[in-house]
Amino acid sequence: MNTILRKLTRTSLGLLMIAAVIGAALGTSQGVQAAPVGVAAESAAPVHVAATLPADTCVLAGSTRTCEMWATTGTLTLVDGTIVPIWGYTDVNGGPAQLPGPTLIANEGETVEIVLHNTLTFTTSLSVPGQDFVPDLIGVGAGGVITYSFTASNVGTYAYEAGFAATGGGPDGTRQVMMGMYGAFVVRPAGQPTWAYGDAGSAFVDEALLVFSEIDLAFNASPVTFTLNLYQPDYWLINGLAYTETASIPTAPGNTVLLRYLNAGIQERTIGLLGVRQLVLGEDSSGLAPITRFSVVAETMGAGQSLDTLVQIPMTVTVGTKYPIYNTGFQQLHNNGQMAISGAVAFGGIVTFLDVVGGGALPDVGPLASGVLVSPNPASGMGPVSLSATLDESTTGGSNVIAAEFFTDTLGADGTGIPMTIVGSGPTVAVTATVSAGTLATWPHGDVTFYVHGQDANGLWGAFSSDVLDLVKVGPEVRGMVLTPPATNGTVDVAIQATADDTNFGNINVVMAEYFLDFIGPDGSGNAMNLNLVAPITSLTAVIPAATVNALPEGDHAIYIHAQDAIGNWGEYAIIVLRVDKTGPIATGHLVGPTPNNGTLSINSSIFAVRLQASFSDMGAASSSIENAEGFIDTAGANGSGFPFFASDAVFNGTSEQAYVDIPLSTVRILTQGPHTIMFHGKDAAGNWGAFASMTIVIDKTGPNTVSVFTTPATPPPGTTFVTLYGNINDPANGAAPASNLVTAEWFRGVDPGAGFGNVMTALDGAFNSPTEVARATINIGAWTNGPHIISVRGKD
Amino acid sequence: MKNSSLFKRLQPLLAIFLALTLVAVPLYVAQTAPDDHTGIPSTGVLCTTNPSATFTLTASEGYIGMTDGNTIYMWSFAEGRDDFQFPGPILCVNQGDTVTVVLHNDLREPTSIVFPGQENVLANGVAAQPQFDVQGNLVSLTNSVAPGSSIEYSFVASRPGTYVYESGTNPGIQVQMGLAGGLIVRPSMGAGYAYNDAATQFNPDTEYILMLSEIDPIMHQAIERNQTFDIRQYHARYFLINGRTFPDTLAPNEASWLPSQPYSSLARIHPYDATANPLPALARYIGLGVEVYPFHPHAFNGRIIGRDGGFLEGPAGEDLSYEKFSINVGPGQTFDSLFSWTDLYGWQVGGPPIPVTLPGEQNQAIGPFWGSPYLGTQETLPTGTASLNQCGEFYHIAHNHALQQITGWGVVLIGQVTFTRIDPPLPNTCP
Repeated sequence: MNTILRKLTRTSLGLLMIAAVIGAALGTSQGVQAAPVGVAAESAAPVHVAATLPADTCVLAGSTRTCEMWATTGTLTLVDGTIVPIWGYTDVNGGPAQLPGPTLIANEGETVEIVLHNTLTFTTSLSVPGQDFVPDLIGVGAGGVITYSFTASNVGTYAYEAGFAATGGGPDGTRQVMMGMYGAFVVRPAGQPTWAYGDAGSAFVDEALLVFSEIDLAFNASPVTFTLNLYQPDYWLINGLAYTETASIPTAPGNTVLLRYLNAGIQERTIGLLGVRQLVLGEDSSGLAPITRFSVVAETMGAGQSLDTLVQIPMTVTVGTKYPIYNTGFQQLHNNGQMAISGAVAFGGIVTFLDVVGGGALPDVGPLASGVLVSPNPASGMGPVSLSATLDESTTGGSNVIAAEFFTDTLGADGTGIPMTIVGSGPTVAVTATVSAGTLATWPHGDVTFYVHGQDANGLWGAFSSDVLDLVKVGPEVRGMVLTPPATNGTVDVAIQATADDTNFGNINVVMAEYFLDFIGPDGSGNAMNLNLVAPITSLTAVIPAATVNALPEGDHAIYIHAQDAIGNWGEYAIIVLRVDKTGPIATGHLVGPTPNNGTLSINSSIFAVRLQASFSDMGAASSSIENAEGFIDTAGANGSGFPFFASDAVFNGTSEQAYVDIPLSTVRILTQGPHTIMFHGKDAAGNWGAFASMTIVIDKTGPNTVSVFTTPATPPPGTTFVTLYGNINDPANGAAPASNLVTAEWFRGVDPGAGFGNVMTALDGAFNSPTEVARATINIGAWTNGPHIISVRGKD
Repeated sequence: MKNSSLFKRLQPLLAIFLALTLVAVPLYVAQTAPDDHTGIPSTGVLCTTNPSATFTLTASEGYIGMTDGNTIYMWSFAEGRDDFQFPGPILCVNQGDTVTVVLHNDLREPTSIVFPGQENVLANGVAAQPQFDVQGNLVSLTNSVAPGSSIEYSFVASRPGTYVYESGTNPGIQVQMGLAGGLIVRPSMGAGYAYNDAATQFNPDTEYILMLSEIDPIMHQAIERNQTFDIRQYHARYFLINGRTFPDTLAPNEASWLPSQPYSSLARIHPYDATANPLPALARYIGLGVEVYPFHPHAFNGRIIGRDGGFLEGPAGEDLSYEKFSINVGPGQTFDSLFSWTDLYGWQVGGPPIPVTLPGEQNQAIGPFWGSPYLGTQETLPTGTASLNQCGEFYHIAHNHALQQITGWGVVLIGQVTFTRIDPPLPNTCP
């Protein structure tokens, strides 16, 4: 009997109580390794304490320890009643296979002889990895017996399992192990049954073995033919049992517990202990040197690995203390995916507990706080906020609640908080407090966490509960302002659009918005804006009547917009500028096309038109962009009814624009003789038409007269080669058309070749630039016949 | 321990080439400078602190984004009543503090918090204990709180180190859904030490946390729809660091475009220098998944100084720290690793030349962070190549070496990958 069992015997009264509780909690035992006799005999209810270990097992004769085992078949009844076939080992001749196999415990230096009877129908073998064990590559056939002998030279926790010998055509060793042919082999240091390794630092009082493995129902159903790459476990086991059947590990306050973990499955697992640390003594029983031991919360074991850890139970624990041992990956914590009544995945699989038997009574504690509520929340701080909570001592002692207090953000010592008022009396009371606007005014914008707790009649302060006040002192942001039109002359309404957004300032509904023109007044005294909905983000609209705008002096006017959230915070002003512009653009321009014109002259050979080039400018303090320009010939019509100018840069959008218009020659041609006035002006975005500018085009449809023609000499003597021809030409004023300048002159002899096809003449004064010119030409008459020749001269205006 | 032993001989240049050429997707340029608006450092541990170590956490639901565009329904712990975030706030307290956590439950089922590695945890003032139903079946590893209610946990943070906190109720579902976070206990020796030992001093500007987890999106979808999920069908598709997938892992802390995933995992360090930069950086690894992640930061080995909040020293102060180039972070485990980077060979323009003949341009792959093989130098890149390299800095990849876990639903480089950025020695031109 080991130390813990002796200890438990001494405290049997306490054990009986605890055992009863555990038995009730865990239900009836099923397929559980027998509890040690000493405990079972004294217990009124079954107790899962299978994990504790005896000092040794098997039969010792001299220095040889003989363990007789039978390899056989059996069944495993799982936690939910599912029965699966297994293969395994038993130390009972004729008995069914146990899972895991019998724990073999020897002492360092002993000769271990394992006598294996193979009652299976196929060949099997044994291996003990980590010991000086000669691998058996042949095995023992069905019905045979084999004795393995080796020296237990290495201290620690080891597996024994089916070896790899697969002679005889049966299932290989892998499948044999997966079916359950494994068990633990423990070697204690010589002469030190309560040390894990060979030093006093590894001494323990309590000891438990946890052999981990898993079950895939489909594999166990057909172990010989199952395709191993489809292996997907349904159950995870500790010592062949899944939670809720796993055995708790009993211990007591102040005890040192040795946990021998052995991963006999084929999956990796990380095993953690909650509430107390584990000191790693050895991994794969390669005992760490005492100084190199380290403590962990959780450690990982690959398949086939083992781990020995030491746990120190605190001296001071309360009654009923349990420290869970579990797979910290949380994926081996269920039984075949079963659900709890709540719908959550129920705990199963690899869970057990270090169950501390004994310990001090549960301490009396103060009342529990719940339902902490700050109201209003969010709050602007312009008014007080009230704080309320419920304090309940009924489950923590039942005395009256005598005091309550709260802290904000940071806790102080019990009793140093701000007192709260208790409503009513007794163990369950409401408590209230008010934080004044004056106090809130000193707190910055942001979250404030209120922590509330109470004190019972025994003077004990209880646990806190909390609520977070969203203290919002900033109102919504206004952005995305648009004015339509952005500039105006006061003849039309101006629409305002904007967005109010409170998402970054408490995400509170926007309930109101207003605008001011030029001068900001008190909050709420401005011109109300419409909200498209009451929400943290909303669209704001308003209309400034034309009459209001028209009354404004010319120039820029600021529109200030702000919005208010539901708790009264007005946000920052956003500003957009309205331009009041009552002055139209200034127009200047000139004619590019030829003037005077008889309806045939165009600006170039491809555009049959006369071009007017103009510029429009709306500069100054109240300038706005040019929007349009138009022209009229002779008589101005209504604004907007003239012929349009085109922006030279394709679009009217600047405060200064170049523009042009081409008047087709067909239009020019029908104009009457004489000068015509072309009037033009521009319009700005504020709607103002500017004053007219004008230019003149002269229509002259009458050609020049040739007044006289003569040659020098008048009658050339025979042999004369050259004569000089002169013609006096003038372009008369004709009705409304003024005299036009001459531009060219020509002469011909005899039959008229047509205008423009004669011989070119030059101006006597060097240039055709006046309505009256003398044209001159030098004529080579050397080849002419004797006699008179008629020479004609004409000019072009 | 000695700094010199940190710097195991290896082939840093090869690692640089690997880091630069492995990455062929567009990436952010992370900045270390504080964000103008928030003052929050862009990299490093972003602690949630309180002068009395008092925290209010709310178990709530929300969504996070994966780099491939998928959106995942999550449960996690929000700070106070703030917006949802995953992982839960990184709680930083000092050794000896009495830590008080008030947990509110906004979920549809009971939940709880366990603090593995902490001893004598109280729940509502009494020792926290596993909870059983009337049939005696375990329903929670610790005292739980019903929907709409609150519970107070408290404990004395007696040991410095890095710890997990996570749900102990229906943990197979709830921890996978995201109800988990990290707890850092600073030693009484000071915040610049990992443990109460002078050898654990680190540069406080280079303290990092890497919380490793994974997601089965089918399971999350089932939970979102309030359907039952057969836990045996669990199959993770995403693998996260600090709740993000690569390259979001490189984005700064509290990046505006990752509103529910506040924590960066980009490390940004300077070369070791005996006088200017003598202290190593500290990486705190936390396993929040279901299996062991072999996490492998390239370049120099890290030196493991702590496990699960236990300082690796012997009974008489013997140094039990050890170097690792791949850190097997199991579920519920933590590892504290000191690391630094030394410019062993001093390769630079005008200095010792790199003993490598560069292949022709057509045989080169130019990574988006390529700058120059010389630290602190930015050289002309081939025509048509764009670079995100800012100031001639180096990048080393740090990743889960179970390479199927650097994928996101089968797409490579959407998993547990981040970078260590080595800036040139100060003064430099880095932003």
